[in-house]
Amino acid sequence: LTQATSTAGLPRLPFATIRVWRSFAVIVLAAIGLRLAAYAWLAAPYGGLVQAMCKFDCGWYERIALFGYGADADWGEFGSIPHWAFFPLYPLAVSTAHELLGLSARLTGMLLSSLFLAGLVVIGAKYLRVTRRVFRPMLWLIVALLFPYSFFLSAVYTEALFAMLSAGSLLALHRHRPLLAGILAGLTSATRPTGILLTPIIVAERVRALWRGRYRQDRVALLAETLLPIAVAPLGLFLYMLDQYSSIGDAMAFSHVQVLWGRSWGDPLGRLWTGVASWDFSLLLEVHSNAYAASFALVGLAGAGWLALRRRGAEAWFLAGCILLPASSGLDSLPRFVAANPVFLYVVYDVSMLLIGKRGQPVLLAALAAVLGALQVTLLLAWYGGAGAVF
Amino acid sequence: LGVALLLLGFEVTILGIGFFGAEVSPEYRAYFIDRLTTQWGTEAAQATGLTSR
Repeated sequence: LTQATSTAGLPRLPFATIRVWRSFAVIVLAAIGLRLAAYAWLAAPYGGLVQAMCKFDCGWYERIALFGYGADADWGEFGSIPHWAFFPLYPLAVSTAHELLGLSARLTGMLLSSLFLAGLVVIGAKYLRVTRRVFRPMLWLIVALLFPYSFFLSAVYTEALFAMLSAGSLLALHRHRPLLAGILAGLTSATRPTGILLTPIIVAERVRALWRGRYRQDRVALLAETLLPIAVAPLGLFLYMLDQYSSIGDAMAFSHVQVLWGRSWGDPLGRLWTGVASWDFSLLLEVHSNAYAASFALVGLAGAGWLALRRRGAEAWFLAGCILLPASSGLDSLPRFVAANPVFLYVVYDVSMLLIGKRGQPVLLAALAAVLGALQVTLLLAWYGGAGAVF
Repeated sequence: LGVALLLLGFEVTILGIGFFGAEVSPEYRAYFIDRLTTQWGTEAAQATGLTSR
């Protein structure tokens, strides 16, 4: 695969064939299966894989998948109110698969997330292949599956679905398929609120297309080609807002309810600065560390800046937005939001490429895999143990 | 083009309802206002815009 896609200007035919992509997909699925087996082995002292992996928000998604957004007495006086913060597409997918397969919601969620992760790896490979001068499939596989926080991409969380859909939207846009990009962006916005950040990218691309086609005779068709992807891109969020408005009378309930987690709107950069200044790294792996969360976000922003310098505006916007939007309401979960973002994984791939060189000595690849794998095991064990810092 | 305009109209309406026109149920409003006021004071509660609805 590496030889087939070596440098720009050389033939890319073998990797472009369906057969090779199919083989790559099988390798990805096998690698994810092996990864899950390793997770299960490590989870034995923590009550087994499914129980050990289901922490924090997993419970919310599980209950929404099983009982919908309705009554829920599990959170005392707050009832089902906190459910509104969790967007519907992922629990809907888990609920549907749970009904079809007859497996527990947690196991179904893990299997679905792993499948979405496979989709992300394949889509990411296709994206990197057409946007980077050199693409090395093995390096991408190592980054996507061994990066420390990537275990979230197999957990009952929205990370894998969000990453796969947003990566798909960016790929479709790059391939000049704006309506598909809009539909995928619409699904992304039904998965997480930050999915809405794909809409400005589609607007910018469509406005450029409109300008390019300004001499076309069929103006109505041109306008339709411009407006339809733009209209579809935020549809998931707006349908969820309509649902919340019709059921409880507040279309912004998903945002208002964030107060339950102590989140309120503020200056994101100020919050990051305050977080770093608190210098509470000593709390790491015990409780939540503001300095660690803020530092992780700053690393992500540095990655976005680097992408901007390399004139990858859409990637830079999406990564920076996915950090600054949640940072404007608090520092919780920022490491997860950064590390499971597909564009951040692309940045890690780019940086790794710089470190190991275009030829990518196998020894260096193995060393990178060992370092990333060791870090992931450390975080995974902390996650199994219920350390809030990892979250 | 018709579908696109219809969708955009729907989205603008929902945005308007979300930010300016929502009729929030009394129980929901009371719950949030109480929670916000307790934790961050009256100013924070008013900042959400829920108190004026």
